Amino acid sequence: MTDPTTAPTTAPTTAQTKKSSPALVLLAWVIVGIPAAWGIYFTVLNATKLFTQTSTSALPVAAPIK
Amino acid sequence: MALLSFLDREHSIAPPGYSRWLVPPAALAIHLSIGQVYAFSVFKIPLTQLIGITKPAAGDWKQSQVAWIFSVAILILGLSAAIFGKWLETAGPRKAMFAAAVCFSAGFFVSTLGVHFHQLWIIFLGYGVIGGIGLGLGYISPVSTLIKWFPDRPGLSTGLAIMGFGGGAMIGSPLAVKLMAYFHTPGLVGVGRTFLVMGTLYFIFMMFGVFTVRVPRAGWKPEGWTPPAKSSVMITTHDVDVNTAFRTPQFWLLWIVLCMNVTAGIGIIEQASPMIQDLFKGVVKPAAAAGFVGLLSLFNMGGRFFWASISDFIGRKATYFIFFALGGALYYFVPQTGGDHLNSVRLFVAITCVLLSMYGGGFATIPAYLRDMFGAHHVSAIHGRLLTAWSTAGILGPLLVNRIREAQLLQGVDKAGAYQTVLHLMAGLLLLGFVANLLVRPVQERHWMSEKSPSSSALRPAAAK
Repeated sequence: MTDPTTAPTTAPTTAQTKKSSPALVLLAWVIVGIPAAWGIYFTVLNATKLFTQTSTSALPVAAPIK
Repeated sequence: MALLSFLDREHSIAPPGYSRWLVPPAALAIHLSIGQVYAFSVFKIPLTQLIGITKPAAGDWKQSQVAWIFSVAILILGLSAAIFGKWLETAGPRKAMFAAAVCFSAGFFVSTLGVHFHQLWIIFLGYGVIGGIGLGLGYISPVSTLIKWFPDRPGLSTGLAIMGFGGGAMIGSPLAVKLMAYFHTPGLVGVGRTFLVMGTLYFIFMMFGVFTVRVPRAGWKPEGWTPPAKSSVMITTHDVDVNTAFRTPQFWLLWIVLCMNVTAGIGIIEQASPMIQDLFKGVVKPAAAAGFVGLLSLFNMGGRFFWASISDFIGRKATYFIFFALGGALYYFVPQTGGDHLNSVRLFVAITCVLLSMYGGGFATIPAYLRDMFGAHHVSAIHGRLLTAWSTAGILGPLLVNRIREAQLLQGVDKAGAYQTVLHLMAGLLLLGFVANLLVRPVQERHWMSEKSPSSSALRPAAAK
């Protein structure tokens, strides 16, 4: 049984090899990075409520974690 | 169909010089999309006000009815991953991703009809069943491809993708809220149009993954990397067929490992908001509790990448030992941070964040663990079947948490005390997971595929621990 994921191909010569452009790789990461960053931004905004809207007057009796 | 032949595996073989770093964004495009399922709760209230618009009216659906849509979607995720996993291995990641995109988007479109005709069963069929199939296919589709592209760092690569699933809700939630606000009119809640737009947006975004993903050529390996001459006995150099793997004790031990880790995590996720408010009465208000839930989701997502990457260095078994030993101890200790004892919100938050990072880490590290045990050949299919542990935990976790807590409250135990019982039970479950992980041994030779797969057997990952 052979692995169909890796169908044999002719070995390329160095001259034939065209490497993916670093700009293309960067663009691919930007395409997924922008929506991810947008979502994380909203989550961080939401998470800050824990620190801004916790009643400080009643905050820990125990020593804060350093 | 000739028109769709570009989806075939042979048409997605990477040309020489193709950068493997294009594959994780392709996988992320899928996982960031389907991770939206965890944000489905934002539709709960609007779906119960389709007639009343500003408040539920006679004939509107109940929240308890609507809540089942999410449960059905997660159940179908597990089932479809298990059923279609083997097909995916032959069809290739591009075709599977395309099918996932079609199903996931179609789920939204069909649900739009459900909203339009006010028929709940159509939404169950759309988002729950059709969308659920898209979830299952999408979740497992990039796994074996990533492992083949990153034989030196299988944990890092699958961790990146599965981190996307954790992050999907972070995009899906504000997106849905903003779209519903945009489409809201005095006579329309705006859910139907939101479904329509989200289905379209997600389809386009997932197509980026479909067109970008490639499978490596025969004999490909990372530049300058040579498989280690001697690696751990816990990392196989052979492949096991999915049907054979299903019958090995290793599969079922890992099934228990995942199930226990997820069930324990759900113990916190399920009650995060009320728990912090009850343990710190008068200190943490609902808005701050919502912030706590947001913080947990960040650690859930970050833990997926962090722990899966760490596992490449310390080994998969050791990583799960940390989850179960440290996790068990922290679950046992966390009630002590409450108002009746140490009264430290910061300590409580810190501990629960670590616990949630390990919950996410458990999801993200399991594909690499499966690769170590069974080889890369059928790893997506085996992973698909293992996800039934997730479906089981999805039912077991909330059931345990809610039933035990309710029983405790009925017996007159105060709210904080009831949480203690639940959290101690979660510590016990992690102990079970610890034992299951301890019992994991290399798969016996008789289970190996008779003919070795050149893709995986030739390439051995770096985690020789």
